Amino acid sequence: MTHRFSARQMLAHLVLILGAVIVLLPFYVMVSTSFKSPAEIAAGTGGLFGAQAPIADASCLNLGGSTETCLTRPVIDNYRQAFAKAPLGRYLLNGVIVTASIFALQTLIAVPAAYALAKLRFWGREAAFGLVLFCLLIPVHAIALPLYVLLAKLGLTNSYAALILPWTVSAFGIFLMRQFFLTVPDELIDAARMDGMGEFAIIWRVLLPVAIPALLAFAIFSVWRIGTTISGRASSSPATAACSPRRSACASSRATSTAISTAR
Amino acid sequence: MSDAPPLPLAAPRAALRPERTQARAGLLMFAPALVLMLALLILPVAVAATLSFTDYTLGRPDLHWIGLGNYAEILTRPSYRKMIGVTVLYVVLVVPASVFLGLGAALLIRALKIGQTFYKTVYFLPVMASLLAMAIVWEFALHPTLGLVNRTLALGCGTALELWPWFARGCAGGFPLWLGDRDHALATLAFIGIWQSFGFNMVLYLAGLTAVPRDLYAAAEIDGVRRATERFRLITWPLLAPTTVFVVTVTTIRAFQVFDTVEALTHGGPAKSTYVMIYAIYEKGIAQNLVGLGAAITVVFLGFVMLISAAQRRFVERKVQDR
Repeated sequence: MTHRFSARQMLAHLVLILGAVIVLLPFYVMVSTSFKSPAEIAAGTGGLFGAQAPIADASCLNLGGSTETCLTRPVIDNYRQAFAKAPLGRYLLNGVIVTASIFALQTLIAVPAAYALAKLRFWGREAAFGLVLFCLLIPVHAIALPLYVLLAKLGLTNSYAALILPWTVSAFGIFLMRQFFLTVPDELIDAARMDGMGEFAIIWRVLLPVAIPALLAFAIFSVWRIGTTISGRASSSPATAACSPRRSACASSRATSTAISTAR
Repeated sequence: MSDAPPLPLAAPRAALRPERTQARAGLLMFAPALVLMLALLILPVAVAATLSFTDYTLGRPDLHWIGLGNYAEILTRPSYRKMIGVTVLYVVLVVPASVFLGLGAALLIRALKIGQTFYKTVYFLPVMASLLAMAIVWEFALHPTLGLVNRTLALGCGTALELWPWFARGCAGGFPLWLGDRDHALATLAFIGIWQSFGFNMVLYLAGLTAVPRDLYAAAEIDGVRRATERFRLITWPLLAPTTVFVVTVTTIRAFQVFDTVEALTHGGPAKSTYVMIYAIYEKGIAQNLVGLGAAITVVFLGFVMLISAAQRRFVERKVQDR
């Protein structure tokens, strides 16, 4: 047993802190950009918080206000614009509905399939696993167009179903859960069979409680992936569209866009 | 309900041989996934494969069969051949680093007495963040003159760091343009890819490590295995085999599918140095509406990735089972 402050523990902390600094670097840039005025961003000055020198609010000036009455702090201006330009509340609600439905369906479909692939012997099992691996290779961007046409033919565009249906099956989830079920000892399952449990009961009552860590990893991945591909694209595009990342002149909307990301 | 035919599973268990019960349950459990995979993934791929032999573009009613025309274009134009090399290089840069950093972080964090949650949270932040938004932030941090990275590097000028030739050259002639430099752009994207993905591998390895029974270590201790590296080689690594197979496969596939950072940061440039395959599919098939050509690149991509994964799976599975 090593002591809490032993040399080995300190060394581990040192390495991990160094890693943490590198990992957190862009988050620092993001947060500090969301605080600063356009001038400070363009000049790359101001440290973390910026000087917070008062600036005139552009939308207030457009409404005919004078420069004195329109003065505001950069941080307030950035976040007010972020919430005004992107309906963050609705994005979040939509995101929660869609994401929760998708994850529930994915689990319901992936967990039995993974169990079958890992622990049951049936005809065509190797081919079935091969199919899962092949599906894992298929990039979303490559099938987006045919899939869209398919959904349009079914009359499902512009609905929650169109957002949910294409994601109901997760080859990733099947693969992940299968690998995890492989590590569960066969004796546990045989014992449950001896007790007269059916295969479905074994999944939900014996394996799922053991599989919580893997299921959590799956949940995180699934939620993150859905978030970045559906709602992420929708919610970050207004900010990115307002300011093409190629042009560095539009620093102000850049501050807004980092404010949006920070708020998310 | 009573007049409905009995479900296969409801049949008296004793009447069926156990293998038959298993086989039926297996098929039944896999069936929903199978149907959905065929409808939502395989069918669109089949459509794309069909379109790859045509000159179809969206909005035009007729399409012409042009045989292997699209494929001939991919194989003859140097920019498309370069695209495969660029994609492979990206994968080779990202996968080993991402897997070993994930494993290393998981092992280090598991050994800690305090602060486990803190490091887990920090390392997992990039995974949770929207890559599209973070790409913009990275571009900002990597700006040649105003970015945090080059300004921090410039602080080192005039110190002992100048003994390092690369650093001295940077101080004299300016540090690299990173994303704007054809020699650095792909490596920079790979760095962002590693930054973004290793936290997820860490979580997978942490989940895998919880499945390693603690008494095995005690048993090894009794058998005279004292060194931590020996414990790792004899117990941890073999027991993590299924996790490693999964981590390597998934990281490789995701590296092959790199798109968001390319689209947001470099658009395949400078000088096609970051022109990866998925970006090419997107550029031809969606942005330029050359659906047939995009579909052909998709087919080449799938065939290529399939070959690599099959080879890799064979290699990794043998490697981890040998131990």
